[in-house]
Amino acid sequence: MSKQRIAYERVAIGRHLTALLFVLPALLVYGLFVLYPLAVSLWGSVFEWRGLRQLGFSGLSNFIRLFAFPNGERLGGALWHNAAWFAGIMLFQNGLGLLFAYALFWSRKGAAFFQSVFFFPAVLSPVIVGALWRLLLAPNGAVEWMLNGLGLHEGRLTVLGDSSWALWILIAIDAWNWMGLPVLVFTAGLRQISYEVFEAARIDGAGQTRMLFTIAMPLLVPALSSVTTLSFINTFNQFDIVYVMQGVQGNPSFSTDTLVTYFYRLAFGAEGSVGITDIGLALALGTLLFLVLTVGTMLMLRGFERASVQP
Amino acid sequence: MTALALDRPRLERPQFRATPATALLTLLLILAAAIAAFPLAWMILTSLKTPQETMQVPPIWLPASPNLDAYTQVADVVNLGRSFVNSAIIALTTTVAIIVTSLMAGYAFAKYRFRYRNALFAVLIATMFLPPIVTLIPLYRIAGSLGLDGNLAGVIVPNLANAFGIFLMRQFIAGVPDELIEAARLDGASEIRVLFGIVAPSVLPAIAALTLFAFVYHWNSYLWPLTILQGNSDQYPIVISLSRLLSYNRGAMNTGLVMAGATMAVLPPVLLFIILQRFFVDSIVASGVKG
Repeated sequence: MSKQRIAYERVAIGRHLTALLFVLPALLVYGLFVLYPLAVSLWGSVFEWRGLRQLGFSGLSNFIRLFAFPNGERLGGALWHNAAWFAGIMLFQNGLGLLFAYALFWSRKGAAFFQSVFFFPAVLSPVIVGALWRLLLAPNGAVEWMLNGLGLHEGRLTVLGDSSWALWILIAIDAWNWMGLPVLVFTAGLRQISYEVFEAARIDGAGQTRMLFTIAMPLLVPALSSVTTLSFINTFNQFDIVYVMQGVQGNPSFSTDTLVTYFYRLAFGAEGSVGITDIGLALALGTLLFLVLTVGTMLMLRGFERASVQP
Repeated sequence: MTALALDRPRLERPQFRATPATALLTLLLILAAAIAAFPLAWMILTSLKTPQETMQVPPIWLPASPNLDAYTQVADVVNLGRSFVNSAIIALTTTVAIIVTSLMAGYAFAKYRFRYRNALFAVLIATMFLPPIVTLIPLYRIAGSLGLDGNLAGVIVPNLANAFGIFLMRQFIAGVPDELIEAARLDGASEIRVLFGIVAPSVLPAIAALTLFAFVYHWNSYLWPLTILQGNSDQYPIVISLSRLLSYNRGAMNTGLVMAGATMAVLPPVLLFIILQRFFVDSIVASGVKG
């Protein structure tokens, strides 16, 4: 081997070592505190559990129990609430967010101001979000007073205790919390579209509404993709707002129960009348959640990639 | 006008006549912004009211004589000052550590070729968005067996690195020209110097965004501190003290105290947001929209 070659090899090995050293701190922390617990959880879902003790291999029996009576009813309810949550967020948060971003895109002034105002709630802790909205929505509270004053409602406001309303109120609060994100991402996406495209369409006689659907939306597919995927992930992670506002039971009568609050009850012993933990069932649910999130996200990203057009 | 437009690129956006539809949309926009800002305004206003004023029906908007009594009283109920310091320690150390570990790993993933690089990165992405609660029990066991339960170190250590940070840094560092890095290497700079002297300054907007993200997330985190601190209330971050204040308060309904505590807890993330929001917007655009 020539001297040059040896020197090159030495540099290459050196680079490899440096790369290893650079990745190591992050990998050590992430591996020990995220990947290892995750592996333990996934592995544990095919075992039988008594309390916190792992017993023998049990195949898919935890999963079968999860889908069977009586747990299947809870699972179905939570799944449905998560799905409704996703639909609600897509409509109220991202749909309105797109509309607002489109309006801000055309307005000359104030876009930065509105973007900041919409984003502010996102820096609040869920504990504070919950406390604030519980206060505002309480009977005799500010919202009741305003709605009554406007003639939109009469008498005591008890929406958080009403099982046909509570879920939608929480979805609205979540939309309020994160509205800034779609507004931000969509205005940024719109600014990347050349004005000439809009100008050409205007000369052809297209109005703003038509431009939104025929020009802006198709060219916004990358932005739509990230917002939709993030909302999907956020929805199936939904725990904090329910926990803070309606408790871990998803009150009233499980009408705001989500997959993660259900997981919490199974893992920490608040499910059922006796309230004992069922770790096997919890881990099966955790595995299911992991699959829903990774497969769902992958399919979504792939679908959007296929739908994207080059400007 | 058309001749001018041909001469240079048109940066002006085309103008539209105001129609009833745009007027309606503007109105809707203002209404939505008011709804977005209202709860925060209500929180601050309530914290300045007297206890009688907070209980008034119908509610009153402005306190007759704004005062800070609620802020001094809340300290008697729970030790919010101590909690504030705890939160600051947690949020600052995790943020600094996340920046450093993410820069290092992001640099390696973006600019080195090594075995299992793509596989490792795929694992990071796949596990990035898992609900943290799913791994809470095994995580608690590991942290406990390392002697991390009951103290602030237990809150901090498992959060010294984070997949989203690595992902964000990799995306941005990939855009730093290789020539820049090679030039520094030829000048004899060590890899550490290259990373912190050349690469890091050219991804400052991403660092600012990650600072905001990490600080806000760890300032607000609730479930993990509650689990690992094991009732050691001296070490509680402000969010947990606040939720304890809330549960004491359900009966008494001294809303002013709660809102004073909440205003204190909100202040650092809001200030940081005001300072860093410009960078934050830029990085969301770069990481999200371009993909």
